[in-house]
Amino acid sequence: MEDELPEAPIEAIGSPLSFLPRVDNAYDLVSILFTGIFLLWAIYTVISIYHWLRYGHNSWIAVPSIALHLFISAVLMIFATSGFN
Amino acid sequence: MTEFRLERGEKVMRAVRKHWFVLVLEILPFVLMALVPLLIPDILEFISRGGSSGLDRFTTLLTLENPWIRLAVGLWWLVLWVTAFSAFTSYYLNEWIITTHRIVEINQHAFFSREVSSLLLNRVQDVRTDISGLFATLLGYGTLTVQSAGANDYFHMHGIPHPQELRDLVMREITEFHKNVNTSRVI
Repeated sequence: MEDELPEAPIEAIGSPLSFLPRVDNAYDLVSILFTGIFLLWAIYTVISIYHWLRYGHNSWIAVPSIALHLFISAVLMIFATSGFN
Repeated sequence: MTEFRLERGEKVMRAVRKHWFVLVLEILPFVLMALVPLLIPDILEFISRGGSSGLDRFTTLLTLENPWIRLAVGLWWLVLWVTAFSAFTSYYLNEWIITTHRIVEINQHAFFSREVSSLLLNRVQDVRTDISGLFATLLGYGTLTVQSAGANDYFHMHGIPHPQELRDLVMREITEFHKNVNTSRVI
């Protein structure tokens, strides 16, 4: 008695991360996600700058701190989105 | 001073914040959490060597070459950075100021929550210092507690550098303050 071979093509085992959308179709998803995060970050940054300038303005460290925050945040945001070219 | 107005003849003698090492201790957990994404692939690889071959697939996918992993790691680092920057902001905006008339405590609880309280030197009843712990002893930071007369009001200055020096300054200013008050009464 011969074993019956399956007629349907064997499906490849899926990637463990297959629940994520494919990268080339995910541009919109990333855009929406990142816009939301950017808005939250922008609100936080404006509030933070307000506090630094209002209460820490006499100190020389206020402006460098704000500049450092903006710089590091920008680097991290660019890094996070750099995979989606 | 935007928080309070100095009275006539009042001078600021010292403004203190927490010791830098206290800030380092607050920031350290964020640094460690930032390293976690970089360690996960190595940990998985180590486990998969022990026989769990199913983890191999994860190990190959969990690299920064994967744009989704890069996005997740980048956002994780951004969250950690924002939280650490908030800790630094809080550290810097919290301050104690000793003047010739009073002790002012400026406490930034959170954004839009700032408390400024004063304790007149003529109401100070007791000044105590507490330095406990290895790092506090080695680096010279601790707590200064100022108790006011009458009520159960305490000013706690946690983690300030050289609390004994500050205690001596407060005691000296109290003496000077009483001396000036008595002199002005005689005149």
